[in-house]
Amino acid sequence: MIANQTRAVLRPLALACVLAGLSLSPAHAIDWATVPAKNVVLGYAGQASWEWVLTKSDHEGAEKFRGGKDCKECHDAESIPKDGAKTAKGGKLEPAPIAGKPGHLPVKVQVANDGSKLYFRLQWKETGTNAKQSDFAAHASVMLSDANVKEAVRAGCWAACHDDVEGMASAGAAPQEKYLGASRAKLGRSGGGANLKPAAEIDKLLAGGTFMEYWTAGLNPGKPAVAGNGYILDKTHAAATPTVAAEASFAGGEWTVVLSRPLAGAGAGQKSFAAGTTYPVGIAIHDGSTKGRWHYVSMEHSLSIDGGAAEFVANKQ
Amino acid sequence: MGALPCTGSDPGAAGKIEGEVDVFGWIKRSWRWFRSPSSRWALGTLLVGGFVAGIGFVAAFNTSLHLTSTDQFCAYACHSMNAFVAPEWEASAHFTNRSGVRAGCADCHLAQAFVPKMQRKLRAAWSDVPGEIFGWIDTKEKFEAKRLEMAEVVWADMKANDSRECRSCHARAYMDFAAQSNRAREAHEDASKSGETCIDCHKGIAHHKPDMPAEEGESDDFSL
Repeated sequence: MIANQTRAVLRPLALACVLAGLSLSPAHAIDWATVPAKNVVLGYAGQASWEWVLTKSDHEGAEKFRGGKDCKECHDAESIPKDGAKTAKGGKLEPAPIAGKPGHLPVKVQVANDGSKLYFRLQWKETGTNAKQSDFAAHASVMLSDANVKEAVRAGCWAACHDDVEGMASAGAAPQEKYLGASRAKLGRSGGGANLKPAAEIDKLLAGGTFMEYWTAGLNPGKPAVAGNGYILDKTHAAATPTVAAEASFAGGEWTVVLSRPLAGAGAGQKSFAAGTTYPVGIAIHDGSTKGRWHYVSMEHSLSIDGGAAEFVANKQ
Repeated sequence: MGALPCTGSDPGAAGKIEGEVDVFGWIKRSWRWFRSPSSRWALGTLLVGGFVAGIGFVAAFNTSLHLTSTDQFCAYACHSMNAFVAPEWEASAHFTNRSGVRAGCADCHLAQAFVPKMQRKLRAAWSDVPGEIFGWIDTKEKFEAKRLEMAEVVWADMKANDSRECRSCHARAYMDFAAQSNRAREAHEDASKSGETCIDCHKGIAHHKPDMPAEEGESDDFSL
């Protein structure tokens, strides 16, 4: 009789545990312990825009970049913290520094696919600063593209970071949203402004794959991650209904965030990820309740699906 | 041999005004005195006296060269250097670093060889000293207004002498490229091939780098 009573208590309890476990796991759970991780150092870049990067009197590496050297060939894990620290403490590239903000942020990156979805898992320790700029304690974002966006291949997120974008040095009274240079008739030192190409040309660029896709998650400890996604071409086009899913946990000062979306793109402004193609990837973390330019950003990285020579290879789990 | 000539008048000079100093006559008499053999001093006395005086002169010259090349003199003796230049150097790795090696003002700005050292000293006497006396850079605003111009003079010198003073401590042949960051290794390897010299890349390492003027055409094209 005691045994029956015990079973009567334990069965629902066991069932509840199983259900609770299922509810915390995505439909195709990735065993992240078996997925190789890469450590990526993100740096604080302040107002260093695409135009700044290419201007010799501003950026000593401009000539080398124009000559064919990609950002990462000079800005590696050793130099990013030094450059980031200089920028973060305030100066020409950061007129409004956040007190105590470190110049870099190490992020552990894992990628995988389960045959239907592509996953990014990002882990980092919060820096302990609080700028109170955002309703979220942090944001985790990835930006993806392909060979259509040469700037993204060579400079990652800088492809969309122009001098007249909100918060940047030439933003003025009418700042632009993030955009790609291909959408503007001409770029000057202050960016491309509202000098847009005709709508038909922009539509053609979009149809041809010239855009950067972004996935993002707004994070607050103890609350579900708020996922978002969209694409950047002439401006930032946020998806009305996100097709990206985000899960996050925060423990011991460390964030663990998993971003995912179906490998197959859902129409215009989404890539369909498949083996045999290399996709440029940029990673950005808004730590310490920041927004806009006050983030940490990676140099250009690359992704491939099911094998390949990219830095991040999302193999099927 | 007469006494050392002093001021006076030459009765033979035509058109001379009474009491006016006859400079040319004075030079003439001095030169004659200088070239006349001594009838008073023994040759040995002159030799020993000359030798001692020579040693004294060299010692005094060397001491003054040394004293005017110390950090105490170059960085802290004048208001302009003390107020605007020294703090930037003190915040740099050339002042304090993990190795405990300091590169002082003269290490970077003064040649070790005699002739270029004297050339630099003469230029300091010609430009730096009057600059301090007349207050060319005695306020922050004046200093910043001339920062680029001053920096470009130094950069041009370093470029022209293949960064000679940098190479007193740093030599490409002594570099362990494997111990350098990727960025440094690639840059040094590139420089070996292109013939670039230290100052081509290492500007603003002990002083703040000036705002660089835009170069012609640099803002014409931002596409790849």
